[in-house]
Amino acid sequence: MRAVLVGHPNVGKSVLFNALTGKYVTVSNYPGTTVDVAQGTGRVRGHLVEFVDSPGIYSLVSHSEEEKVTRSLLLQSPGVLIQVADAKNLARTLSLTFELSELNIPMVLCLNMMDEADSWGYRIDAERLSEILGIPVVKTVATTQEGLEELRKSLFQAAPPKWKNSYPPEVQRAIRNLQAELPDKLRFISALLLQNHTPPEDFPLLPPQISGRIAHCLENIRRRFLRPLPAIFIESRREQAALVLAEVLTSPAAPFSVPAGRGLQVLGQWCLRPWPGYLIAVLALWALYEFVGVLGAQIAVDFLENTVFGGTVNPVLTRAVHLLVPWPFLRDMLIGDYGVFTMALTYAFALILPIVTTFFLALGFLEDTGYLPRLSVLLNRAFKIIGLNGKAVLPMILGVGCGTMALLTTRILDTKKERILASFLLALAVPCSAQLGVIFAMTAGLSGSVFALWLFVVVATFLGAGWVSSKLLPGAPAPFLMEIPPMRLPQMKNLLTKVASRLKWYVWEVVPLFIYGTLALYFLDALGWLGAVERFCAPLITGLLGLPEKATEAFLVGFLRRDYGAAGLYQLQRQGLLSLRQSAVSLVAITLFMPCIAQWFMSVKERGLKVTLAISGLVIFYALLVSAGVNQILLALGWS
Amino acid sequence: MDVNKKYPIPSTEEEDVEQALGILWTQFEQGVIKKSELEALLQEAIRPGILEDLIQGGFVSQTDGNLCMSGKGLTIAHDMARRHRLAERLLTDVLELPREQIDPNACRLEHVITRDVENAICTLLGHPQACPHGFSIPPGECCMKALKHTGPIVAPLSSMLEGQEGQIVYLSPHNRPELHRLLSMGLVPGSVVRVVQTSPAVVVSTPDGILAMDPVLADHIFLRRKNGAGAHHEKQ
Repeated sequence: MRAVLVGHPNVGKSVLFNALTGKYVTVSNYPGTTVDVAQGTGRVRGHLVEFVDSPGIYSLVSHSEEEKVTRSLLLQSPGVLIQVADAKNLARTLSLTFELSELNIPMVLCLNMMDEADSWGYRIDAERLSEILGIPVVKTVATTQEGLEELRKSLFQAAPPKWKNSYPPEVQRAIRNLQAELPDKLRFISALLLQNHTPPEDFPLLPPQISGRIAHCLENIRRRFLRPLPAIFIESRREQAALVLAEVLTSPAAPFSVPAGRGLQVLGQWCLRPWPGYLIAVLALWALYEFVGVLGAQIAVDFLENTVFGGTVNPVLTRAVHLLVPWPFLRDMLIGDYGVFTMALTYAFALILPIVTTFFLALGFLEDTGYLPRLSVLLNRAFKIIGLNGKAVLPMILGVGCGTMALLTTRILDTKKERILASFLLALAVPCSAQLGVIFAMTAGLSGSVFALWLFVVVATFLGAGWVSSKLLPGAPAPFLMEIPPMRLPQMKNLLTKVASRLKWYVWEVVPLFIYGTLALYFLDALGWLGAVERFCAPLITGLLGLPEKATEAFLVGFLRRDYGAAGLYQLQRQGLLSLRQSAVSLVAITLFMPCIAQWFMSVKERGLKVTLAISGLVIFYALLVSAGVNQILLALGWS
Repeated sequence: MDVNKKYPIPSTEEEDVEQALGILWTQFEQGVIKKSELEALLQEAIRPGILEDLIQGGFVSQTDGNLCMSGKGLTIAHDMARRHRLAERLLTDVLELPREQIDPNACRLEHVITRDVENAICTLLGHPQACPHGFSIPPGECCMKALKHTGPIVAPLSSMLEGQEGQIVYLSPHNRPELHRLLSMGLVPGSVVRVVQTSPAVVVSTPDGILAMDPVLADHIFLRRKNGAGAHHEKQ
């Protein structure tokens, strides 16, 4: 048996999914972070049930990727449908239930967050509701696993809803007209087609040979209505929901008051206003930096890299390889300069893992509190300048942690234009924490003006390049519209579950990218091509940027490990091989220069090869141009 | 709909008079008062001889080759202009009819709209000042009353102040894909929302939860005000 969990964002689908399957998936408060569809099996009364966790949706009419994913899931793989709902929000819940009922799939309605609904003073007559809808209605509290047994039981009583939507007569006529054009099996999508903006050929299921006729028929029907059809459908469902609610719900007198956690909600309001919102934002970002940038990227990395890997793991592995592997070629591949153990795995586990772990902890905490959407509201205007909206806060903050991970979350952006823009900015102007650590170390020993110059160039690039490319890329930006969940105290167990599942993803999805990259570099080196590339690039570095020839290697290695590039420069600086001007130029160059190879692969995966190549070309060109410019200006100012 | 074929619409004697007075009102607004020019215009728009009928009926008088409306004529012309332009607003903003259908339909409606309906439409639309073409809508009793008490009753969400509460009357993002998103997030006609803050984004509390949006979107959501600053004015 297969059971698909559907529902609005932030109703606890993923927590419920974890409880039902015992499998780790991402659970969060930030709209749309269940990026991949999670699947897992659970045992219900001796039967194996395959559970699917779908991205949150507001309606089956698709606007976002999430809604498209969920719609195709429901259209193509009917099993049992579990609608998970926020019990505090029955009006919109029923509106969606009515919409889902048209799919004619066996269904269960799960009223989750009953504890909150109780404390807010809502009384729900689940039995009566179940009678009206003709499907089981179960009350649950997913976080404490209350009502779960009942939910499991109800899966076997699930039935296609008896509820029939009563739309206005002219709408019903339109539905019938369209049904006449559709094959028998597909009649149920008639109402869905009428409400959609997407052309019928985008619809899964619909045979291509009839989609033209359907499009024509739809056009005719739409012309008969004065108002947009989706509006008529939604309003009608809302009206019907209100009638049902009157029968099953007793709500508190004052709908806007929040009895539970008043202090937390006041804090939530503060976070939304410019004052003290911006102050809180600065404090939050500072805390994030202290936790990730200092504790993770410096203290933990230092310990793991030097003590654990440098002192124990790598020497042991090296000895083992020498003993077990007689061929020097393979030996070098494992433990050489570009070895899988000595470079890729050390990098993945000693350097990035601690950063990523602390970052996931901090991010998970922020997500579960409901703070991130509030930050989006505050920063919306700033992001407008660069053609994005407040939703881009998540990828950009993540980018300061790890650009590879950040790229994955660009999926939450509404339009293709915004996703390409965000990917471009992440590649160009957002230094990751691994790099930042070394950059801070390098500037610490120099005069403040070098740091100020670096900061100015990076911020100006971020805003300037964003602004220009937002004007050049076709398409209008999507207006900002976001639900703000209530502030909540994160629950440690859920937070750890989420971090664990993300770390698992990191190990399985990202670490291999490091290994491929290292292998590629190893072969380039073994074939002598690395040296050739270096010689080819050297004139650019020495001539255009005025840097010593040795810096070339740092830039090439920087493609594999962003911080290695920076670290290579740091080494040069400590050996006294870089003047003040050269330090400034090289810092700017290494920051703007190509992202690491893992991010590059992720970009290919998410945006496609063509877009990634275009971004790479632009980034290299821009980085060289600006660094050369900085070099010339500094020379003119008399810096040696 | 066959409005396109029968426009200008054949009509009764009474409707012709109303129509003609409405046209004169618009021409007078623009400063055209010469009898010769107006006669030609009316002849083309309605029928030959209509101006004579107006003069004989005591709706219009003439001095020195210029036309002037009598009290009786002025009342009808005022009502016609007001109803026509309100109808245009209704058809454009709320019903979202294609542009070419606005005028023919408004021309029909102006004759059948009664005083009560006229004022109800005016109130629904928030006592608008101008029609979609930019002509000013002559104010009616309802506008006077409303101005004395609360200012426009129906106003876009973007014009509301923090703490104000209102009931959504209609949404008008013309065929924008966001319309559906707004609706499915709970901003449906009839639901009551409260403005939590207006900057840096508009934040509203709805029965479905708290929503934040760009001011651009808030321009398209029209509410009937309930309390807050509006009620405050009333007390003063």
